[in-house]
Amino acid sequence: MDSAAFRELALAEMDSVYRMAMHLTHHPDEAADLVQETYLKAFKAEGRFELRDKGVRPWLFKILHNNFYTRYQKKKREPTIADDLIQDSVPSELDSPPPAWDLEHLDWEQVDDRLKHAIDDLPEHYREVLLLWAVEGLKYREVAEVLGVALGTVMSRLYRARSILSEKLADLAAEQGITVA
Amino acid sequence: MERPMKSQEARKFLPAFADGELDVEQNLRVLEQMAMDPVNTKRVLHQQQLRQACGRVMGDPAVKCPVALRQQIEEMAEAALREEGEAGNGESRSNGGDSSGSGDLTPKPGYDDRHDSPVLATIGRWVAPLAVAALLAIVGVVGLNVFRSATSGGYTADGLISASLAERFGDRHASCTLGEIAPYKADLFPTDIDQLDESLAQHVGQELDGAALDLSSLGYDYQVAGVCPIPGDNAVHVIYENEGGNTLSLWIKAYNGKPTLDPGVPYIPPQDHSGRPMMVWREADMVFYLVGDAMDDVKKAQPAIRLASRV
Repeated sequence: MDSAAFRELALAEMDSVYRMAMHLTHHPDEAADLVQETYLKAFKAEGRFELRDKGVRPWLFKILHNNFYTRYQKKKREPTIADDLIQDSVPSELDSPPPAWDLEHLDWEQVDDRLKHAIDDLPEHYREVLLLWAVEGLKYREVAEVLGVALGTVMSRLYRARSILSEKLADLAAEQGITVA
Repeated sequence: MERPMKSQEARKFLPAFADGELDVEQNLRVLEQMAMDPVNTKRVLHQQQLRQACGRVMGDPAVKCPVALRQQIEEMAEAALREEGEAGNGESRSNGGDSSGSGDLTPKPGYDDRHDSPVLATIGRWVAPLAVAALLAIVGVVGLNVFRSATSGGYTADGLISASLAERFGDRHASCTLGEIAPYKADLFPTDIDQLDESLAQHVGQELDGAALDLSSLGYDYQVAGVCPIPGDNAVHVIYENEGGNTLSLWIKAYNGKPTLDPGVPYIPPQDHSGRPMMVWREADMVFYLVGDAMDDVKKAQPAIRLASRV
């Protein structure tokens, strides 16, 4: 791929990259700064880019993720005991099958804001996995590459994130008089 | 007959099935389980609904990259392309360079400067300025040590701002003055320093005497101003340059109690933190962060800027 084509692809992802930066920083100026830095690095390192199924997007997210953690001096989170509990199947409250109740019964006009807050309240490492997967549509393998973690870690974080959200939605369902199985 | 899934298997396979992440054999196994127990179908449905709901509430299409930022990045891309054209290279860009076909998405560390990508022409132009900057930093370190040994009073040396924040100021100064990053919303600030008062008051939220920000008497001309995320909300970054190519960066921010500074007493962070000569001080309800290429110039500029807050 030539440079012009690469840049065209990269520029087409600006809204997605900015949206992810906003989710990470919660501040428009910091998000803008992060996006600018991400693209600067992407243009410098474009020779290392290889076009894949998802195009340039996961590659930009990886640079964004690394910039964010470098900038804010946050150590990359290693898998924790909680993750290991999920992965290694130690019997616990986490070792239960996924919920089976129908979310369509919820009154989403009331639920959307609360779901958004619930997602915002997720631990950062769960939230980032969830956003890359649900909002940006990345596959597990791509999320693992973006975050630099094992595939199993992505699956366990995602499972835990979904479980937390399902629990909160179950509370809302109960408020709306919906029986949750 | 297929045995029912255990909890652990259901936890692993049902969400992955809902997400389309399983291979054919695994898909068939889940389909058998769904046929055996309708609850499993509900579980899959729940996972799919949850994903859709998350995507809907967080993937707001109204959240778009701001126009000013988009323009900056597009200009960055165009400039890089122009430079490649000017370099006149007809070399083909090596796409990763290896034949492993690993498809690694990760930009590799230790990027090889001898790589034959035309992008290196872009990177190459920063080598000389960076070398100069490094030299200036070394000169700055020596200057600071001389300065410290020569002055015993007037400046405090307590660890009032973190090393990481000082480093961010140093990095930001280097990036902006080398043109790698432009101050944000620069178009909202005037090109003439005499007209800077109003923009500063609007963004910093404090009245300032803009004339005191004019450092032309020290040989430093105003270049550009813009909003900066460092050190926090509503900070304004003003950049100066002298004829010799030395630069000064001034950040102005409303004082919110941090860092804990006595009014009028400048603080010099250790230079191994910022990588550049730096001074921080508070006047009235504002805090000023000044970073430069030469400590002498920072030292001369600081008293002039102090007057800015005394309106």
